[in-house]
Amino acid sequence: MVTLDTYLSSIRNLPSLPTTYVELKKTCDNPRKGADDIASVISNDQSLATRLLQMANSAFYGFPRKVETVSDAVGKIGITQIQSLVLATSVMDSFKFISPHVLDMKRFWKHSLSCAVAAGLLARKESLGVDPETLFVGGLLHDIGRLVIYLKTPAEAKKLIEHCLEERTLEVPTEVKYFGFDHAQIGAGLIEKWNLPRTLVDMVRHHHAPSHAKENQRIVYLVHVADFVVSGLRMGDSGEIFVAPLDVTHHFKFPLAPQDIAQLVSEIEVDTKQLFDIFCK
Amino acid sequence: MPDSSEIPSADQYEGIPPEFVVLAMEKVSQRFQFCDLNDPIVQTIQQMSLNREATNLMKGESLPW
Repeated sequence: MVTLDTYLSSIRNLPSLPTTYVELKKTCDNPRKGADDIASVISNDQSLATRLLQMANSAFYGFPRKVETVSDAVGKIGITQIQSLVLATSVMDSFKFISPHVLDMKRFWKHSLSCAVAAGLLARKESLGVDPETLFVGGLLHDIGRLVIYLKTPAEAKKLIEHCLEERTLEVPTEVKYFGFDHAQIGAGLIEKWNLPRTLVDMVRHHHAPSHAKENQRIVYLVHVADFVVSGLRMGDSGEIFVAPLDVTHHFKFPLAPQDIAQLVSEIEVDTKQLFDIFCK
Repeated sequence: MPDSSEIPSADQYEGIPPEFVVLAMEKVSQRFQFCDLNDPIVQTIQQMSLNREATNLMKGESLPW
C-alpha cells in the first residue's frame, strides 16, 4: 500500500498553493508591509478583488456602510481574516477544471459553502479564541480530499460511490479500502503539503471524527456539526450518499438547543445564497 | 433500516399529500441509516430533512436549491 505522501505526489496535475495567496502571505508576514501593500497584492487579481468587495458588502459581515475599496475591506475585515478568505477563494479556483461529468461542482461548492457559513455562525456563538473566518475556511475546505480523489482517479471515485450505494456502506471506510486513506486524510495531507496552519489541517483531517483530534477539538467539532447539519438537510451535495453519523461522544456539548436549529438553518440558507453568487458564478 | 416511529406518520403533514410524505420518509430513513436516531439532535435534523424532502417532492423538485 502506498503512503499518503506518495499518493499525493503521484498526482500530476495536483494544484499548487495559489500564487496570489503565497504573495499575500509573504506580504502579511513582512512587518514592513502594511494594509495598502496587502490591498495592492489583492488588487492585482481583479476577480479576487471583486469577490472580496462583494463579500465585504454581504450580509455575512453586515457592515453598516458600503465597503468601497480593497484597502477599506482589509481595514474592516482584518488582515488575518482577509488571508483566510483569499485562501478559500483561491483554492476554489484551483479545482475548477474538474469535469462536470465527474462531479457536479456547483452542488459540491454549495455543500462546502453551506458548511463554511454554518461553521462561521457557530463560531460566532462561542468564545473560541479564533476568528469565525478560520472556521469558515475549515468548513469550505473540509471535503477538499474528495476533489483530490476525483482529480486523481475519477473512474474509481465513481465506482466507489456505486459500491457504497449497492452495499449500503459509508464512504469513509470504503475509501480506506479502495485507496488506503479516506478523503479527510487526503485533504489534510494536501493542506499540510501547502504548509497551511495546523488548525486547518485538524479541521479537515478530523471533520468526521472530532474526538480523534488531539488539538483544536472544539473547533473541529463545530465544523463536524456544521457538516452534519448541511448534509442532513441536503444543502448542496458533497458526493456522500448517506448522512455520516454525528459524533455523540459524551464530552461534546452540542452548540445549540434542538429548538434553535431551525433559526441556524434559515441563517445558513440566507448567507449561503448570497455567498454562492459571489464565489460560484 | 431505522425505526420509522421516530418520525410522525404521513397523515400528520398538513397540505402535503401522504404519498409524497411516504416517499420522503423512505428517502430520509435511508439517508440517516447510519445515524443514532435516539439522539435528540439527530431526530431534529432528520425531521427537518423530512419536511424539506416532502415539500420538494410535492413541488416536483427532487433536490433543494
